[in-house]
Amino acid sequence: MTFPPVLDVDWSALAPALALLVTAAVTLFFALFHKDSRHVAITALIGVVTAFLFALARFLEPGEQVASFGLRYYGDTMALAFTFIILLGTALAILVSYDQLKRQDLDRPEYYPLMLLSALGAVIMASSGDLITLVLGLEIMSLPVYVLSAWRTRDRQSEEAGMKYFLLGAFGSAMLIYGIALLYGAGGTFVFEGLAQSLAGGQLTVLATLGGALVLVGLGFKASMAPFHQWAPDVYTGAPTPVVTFMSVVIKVGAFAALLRVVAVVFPQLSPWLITALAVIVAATLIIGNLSALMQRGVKRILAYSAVAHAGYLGLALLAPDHGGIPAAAFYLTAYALMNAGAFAVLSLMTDANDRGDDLDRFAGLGAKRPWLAATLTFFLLSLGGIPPLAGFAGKVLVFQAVIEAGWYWLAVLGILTSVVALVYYFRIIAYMYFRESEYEAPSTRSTATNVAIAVALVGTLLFGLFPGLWHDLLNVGQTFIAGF
Amino acid sequence: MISLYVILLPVLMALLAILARGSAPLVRGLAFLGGIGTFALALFLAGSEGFNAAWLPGIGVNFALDATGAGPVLVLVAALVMIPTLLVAASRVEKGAAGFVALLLLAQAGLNGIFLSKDLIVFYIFWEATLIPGLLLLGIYGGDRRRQATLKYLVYAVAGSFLMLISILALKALSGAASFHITELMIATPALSAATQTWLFVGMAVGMMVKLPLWPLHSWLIDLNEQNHPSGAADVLGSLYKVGAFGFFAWALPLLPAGAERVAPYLLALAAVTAVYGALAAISQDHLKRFLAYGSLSHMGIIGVGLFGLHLAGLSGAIYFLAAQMLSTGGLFLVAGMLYHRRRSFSVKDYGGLAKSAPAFAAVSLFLIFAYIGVPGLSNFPGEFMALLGAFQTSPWPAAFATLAVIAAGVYGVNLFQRLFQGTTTVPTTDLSPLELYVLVPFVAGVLWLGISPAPQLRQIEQQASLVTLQLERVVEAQPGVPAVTLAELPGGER
Amino acid sequence: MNDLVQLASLAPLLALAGAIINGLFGRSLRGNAPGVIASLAVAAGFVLSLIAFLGVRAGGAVRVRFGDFLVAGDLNIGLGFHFDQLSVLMMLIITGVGLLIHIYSIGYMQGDDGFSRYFAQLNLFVAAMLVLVMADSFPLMFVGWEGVGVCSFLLIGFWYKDLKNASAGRKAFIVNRVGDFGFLLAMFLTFKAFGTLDIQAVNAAAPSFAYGAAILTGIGLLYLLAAAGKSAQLPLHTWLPDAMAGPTPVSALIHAATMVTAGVYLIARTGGIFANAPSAAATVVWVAVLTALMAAIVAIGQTDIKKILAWSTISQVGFMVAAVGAGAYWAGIFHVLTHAFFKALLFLGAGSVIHALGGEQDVRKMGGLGRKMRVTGTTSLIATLAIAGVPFLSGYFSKDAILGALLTSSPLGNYGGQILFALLMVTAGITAFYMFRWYYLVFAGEPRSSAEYERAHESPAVMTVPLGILAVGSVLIGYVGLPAFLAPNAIQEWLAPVMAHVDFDHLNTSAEWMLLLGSVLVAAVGLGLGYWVYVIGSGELAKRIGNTPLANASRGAFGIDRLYRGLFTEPGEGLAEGVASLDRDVVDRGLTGVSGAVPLLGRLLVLLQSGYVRAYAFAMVLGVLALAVVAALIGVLA
Repeated sequence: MTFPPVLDVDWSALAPALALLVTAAVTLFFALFHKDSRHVAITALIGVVTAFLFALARFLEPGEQVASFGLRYYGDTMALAFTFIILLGTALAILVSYDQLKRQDLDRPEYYPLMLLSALGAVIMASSGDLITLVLGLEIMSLPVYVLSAWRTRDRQSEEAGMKYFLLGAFGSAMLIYGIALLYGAGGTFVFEGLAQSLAGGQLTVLATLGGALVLVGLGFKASMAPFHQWAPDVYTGAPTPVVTFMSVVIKVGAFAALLRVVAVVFPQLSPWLITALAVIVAATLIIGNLSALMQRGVKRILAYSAVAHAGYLGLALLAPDHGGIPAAAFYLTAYALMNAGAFAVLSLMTDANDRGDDLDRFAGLGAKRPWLAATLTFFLLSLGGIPPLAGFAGKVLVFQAVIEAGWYWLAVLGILTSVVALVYYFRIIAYMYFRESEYEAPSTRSTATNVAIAVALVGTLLFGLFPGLWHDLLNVGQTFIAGF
Repeated sequence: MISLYVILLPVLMALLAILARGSAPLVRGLAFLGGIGTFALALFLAGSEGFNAAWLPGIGVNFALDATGAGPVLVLVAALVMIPTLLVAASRVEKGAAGFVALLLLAQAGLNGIFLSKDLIVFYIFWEATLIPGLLLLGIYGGDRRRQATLKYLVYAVAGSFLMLISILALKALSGAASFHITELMIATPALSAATQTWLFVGMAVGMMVKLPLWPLHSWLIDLNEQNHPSGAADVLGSLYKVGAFGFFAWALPLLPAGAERVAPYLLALAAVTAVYGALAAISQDHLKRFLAYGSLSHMGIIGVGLFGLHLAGLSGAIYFLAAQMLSTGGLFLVAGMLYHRRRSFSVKDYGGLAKSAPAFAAVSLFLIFAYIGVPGLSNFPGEFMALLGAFQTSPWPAAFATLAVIAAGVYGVNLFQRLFQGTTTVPTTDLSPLELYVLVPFVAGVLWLGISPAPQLRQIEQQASLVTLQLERVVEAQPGVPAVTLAELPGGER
Repeated sequence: MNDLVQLASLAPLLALAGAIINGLFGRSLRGNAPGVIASLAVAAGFVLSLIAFLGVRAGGAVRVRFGDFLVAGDLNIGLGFHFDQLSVLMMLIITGVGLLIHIYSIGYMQGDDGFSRYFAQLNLFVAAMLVLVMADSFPLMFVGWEGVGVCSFLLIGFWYKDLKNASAGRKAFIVNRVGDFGFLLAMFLTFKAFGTLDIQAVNAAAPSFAYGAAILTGIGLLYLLAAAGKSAQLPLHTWLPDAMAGPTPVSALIHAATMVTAGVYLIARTGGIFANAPSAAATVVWVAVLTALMAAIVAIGQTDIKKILAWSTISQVGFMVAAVGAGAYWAGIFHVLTHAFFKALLFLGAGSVIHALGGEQDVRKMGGLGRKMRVTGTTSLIATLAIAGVPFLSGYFSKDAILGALLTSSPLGNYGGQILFALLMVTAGITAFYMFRWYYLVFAGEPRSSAEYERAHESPAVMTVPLGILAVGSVLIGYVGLPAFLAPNAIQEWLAPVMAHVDFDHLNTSAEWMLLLGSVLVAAVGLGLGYWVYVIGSGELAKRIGNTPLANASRGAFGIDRLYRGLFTEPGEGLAEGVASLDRDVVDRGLTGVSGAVPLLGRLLVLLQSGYVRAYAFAMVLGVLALAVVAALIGVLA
């Protein structure tokens, strides 16, 4: 096929990413002079908003041209939709960090630049049109998070988290890159659409299939899908809560964005059993994530496993790309970003200065002592559990509808049964907050910024729960959602 | 639009009650206002214009409500029951009355949604959302073993309803219906093969059986009632929230007639067992609330018999019974609460001979008990009679077996009254206080109303019941792939 | 005329109004006001019934429909009344006898702290009973049917502070529920067979079935079960003797004159079915005759002044049921009518005695009271003779008519009509015997307890006047049913238009005479025997035969109560307990156990989360290898 020339650049599509990059640089420079990270935070926030506005402009008036650098960087609906989610997650994370850094003695100025860079990486992944861009994005996204995970220096758990994440992450990236190499060998190009065409109809080779499988592994690792998920609980538990707030959302979005593109565009040309393999991975993720969460006492760890479980639900959408699975996944991720960030935001107010003390017992009687905090957390948990009329429910319906349309009945039933378990462990937290008397005094932490984050998340959770059409209609644009699909 | 307002008003009142949690009189006022207001709206509900708005057009979900058929009847009776219940909640709950009232109101809103929604997903939304207030009422205001009870309730309800959700989604996916709207589905789904319909029906049935409830999926109900707040207000909600029968009636049966025909006989057997089982279990209960729980379990069994007999009279009767039992069961739960208020005990053993010192109390209680055990002329009889009569026409033996519950009901009914009010007076108690009188009057009035003039309500219910029988008749003719019904043929089909 | 008849629809409402007034405001009413109000309500009902009676006589049956009751598709049951020869007659009995008993009660219940409650419940009963007889459909009839059951429950347990009374009421209610179970099933089956529950329509359609069709037999037997419950026939008769725990006027009204005859009315009303289901009808007769005989024997052995009358009632109702079963519907209703008078009279007389003796009910402590209580004594004597079947008193004619019917009913012929006739003849004799015993022990002979005798005094006029009126009735009412071959039989002709037709063999006049003489003879033998045993033998003889097995059986009512307790009550309680514990320990636990498996699996999975990077990496490697191997295989295969 003939690719469009490499050097035609659609700046409006690039603008969000560039905005982030520039802000990252500026804030890094800023940080040299300002001791108080709050100013940096505000600057970062401004950058995120700017990026958001750029993306919005592009979203409202899509240009003639969907891609830059010869189909290597997309500005299609998908890229923009996921950019929105990433920026949303980043903004919330910044708000959560705003006061927490000082309180938890994490106050070092490089914090925000790193976060912005990671977000940039995620955006690139979401927009990537070929495997190299994808890897670039993935690394830009991952490396800062490795560092942020270990941000609480002189805390063994935090360091351990960072270390684990880095080592296993390296392993994951290696798999990914190896897979890419194989795919290149099979298809002779890195560009998704190119691969799709060159592999189409041709003899299925071990090369291509194996390549696809390894790409699955690499991205599955980032998305914390079983059996490549085990880093997640430990890292989530060890890393500082504000950082977890960030990565539990942004990393997942980036990973799934990439997965969706690959699965939707390339996989149809590969061996169908790859899909079956994916189904098995999803099933395993659902079971392991939910059942393990049932056993935890630390709220942070419960949420960590729940994050694994949600990777499973998103995986369901991966299996139905041509039955509305892609907009479903986008919607689900939006809901997930809101309710998960919200939950972690509340959690960040609960924990001690050393970020410990997230045990269930600490939540006992919260309903009486901090009614609003408890109420909001209840909403987020019920939404995570998929109870109507909250965003999580709408997402669940969309995903399950897609997977059923695609004919994966056994997976749908399995998914729904595991979500019964999920509701049990989410509700367990609520039960502690409302059905028990507490032995501890109420956490005194208060933070306007965090409250703003919580408020935003809550409004979003309710809004997209009561009127899911608002957002889903914009996403539900059929084939044009992913260019070349 | 009224159909929308009866849902919004309670929600609004609930939010206000939360905000006003500081002042008890204000909360009481809001509770009363919410109850009366909703009731007033419900009076004008029947036949009023529906409401329809796109909700999730991507997968064909519309927020569709409408006030035809059985829905308005159930909403009206529920609203009548809620007025005194809210009053009790606002005045008899010592700690956190505002929250209690708010949760009750939210639950009422959800119930109204369940009864009025015409879109299957919207129905499910209300069905699921209503669970949460009930759980919180039990967990926050319940007794010592409330946490176990809550967990059990949660698992039973959610396990059932989640499977139901899968069936619901598959229903549209497989039938290729244009949307989840009842009429769209009624056109498309009967064309599914009998085998498919059976599977889907089973999926939906699981969720609805739990909330009917049918033996052996009823354990949650007993613990729920035993552990709920002693005022009994939360138990009244429990008796309103037995919506499984309505689910079958309004959705499962008309949408999957072929599946229904295959599965109904088994459900009928279960229902008949439930009817007798519950009645027998009630006889030997010493705990007032457990007694009432088993008694109403028996009622639910009879309702099930009426449904799964798949006969028009039985279907109408079952739903009428569903509405009627709200009154007698609810009223008796509040009576139990009033007894507890006097003696701090639910054990029948601690009572006896109350009629001497509390004649009015005794009279009202006896009246409600007679209604409860289906004495003709009172609210439960028409439904019970028609449910059994209808089922008997299609399947005599199960119906006859279920009718044995009538004898058992006589036993547990008069036993209870005798043990509470007759015999030698143990300790004299006060008679009904003015508040208690106001609380019980609506129940007495309602029991008489539903007992003496059931015809108007039955006609409303019949509109919808006839949809079921219509669909069932089609099963015979329907060829797979050929629409069983066309839009025009459906009563109220044109949207 | 029709409109006037329709006016009678107010009768039950008036009674209901009386009940409501007394129920809500009775406690604040002074003195006899509650009693007066209640009596007025019934009196008005009586007048209305009279109007209806005249109207029907002039213009035939009238039907009113006020609206719908139960509707669904082809099920269409209205709220409507049907005034015809049968229902208005019953209305007259209910309101007439009811009125007298209301008035009597004013004296009898004087000073009871439940005075107004009593009259509220009594009025409620009259209302329900009227609905029962006036209803034009089975479900509406069932409303009255259960309504009277409820009132009977309330009034038997009227003095609820004594749990024994309360339990008697409970027993009555529960046993009646068994009958109601039959009634319900009967209605279900009727609807299945006829597609309607309108009584007239059913009677009209019954002949269209094959004579003796199985379904008609089934329906008939179920209605028999219902009738047995209300009318205290075998095997559901056990509640009536206990029901004597209620105030005596209640026993007179509910458990003698009206409610217990509801079963007779039901069978008469559904004559269309029984006339076409001979085997069902025959079963009815057999049940009734055996009940009559058994109860009569038991009556001999009783010592409680009211229990004797209770068993006598069971026996007499047996006569009535036998008549309607044999197809002589008029004769059954005729006996309902006469029995209403003399049995009510007997009970009120007994009440007067109990009143006089301050609650003493043991006949062995009485005797000679006739001398101190002239009115009560005389009226009771009249009633005794009437029920014994002494010629020219009311009981004589009705009983004779029943015996004749059993002998001549042609469908019954194939089911042992003669035997039944003989058995009932014997029963008539026994009746005379135990009634003589009853009268003699109470009113005649020497006082057996001087203390009681001293206390005795005649009751006030408010009680004796009703006695007088009833006595007159007991003498004269029989003349509405003179044997057809002697004089026009008014009641037979009156009821003829509404009764299903059953063939009877014609007896020649001599046979008729034989029959009349026969029943006279039987009565004489019974009374004579009584005279011999108690007057000549002055009780010695009674003592001597007192410990024969039959006598013991009689005293213990054939141990049926004990049998039931062992057969149903205790096993029933056991079953209830069993179900309760099954639910608690098996059903509940079982399902909880299943859900307990989930956390177990979770615990296993958590073990894998060891925390070591090498372990995690190993897991990933395994995953990769699995994928790689499969990929390779696929590739090779492809």
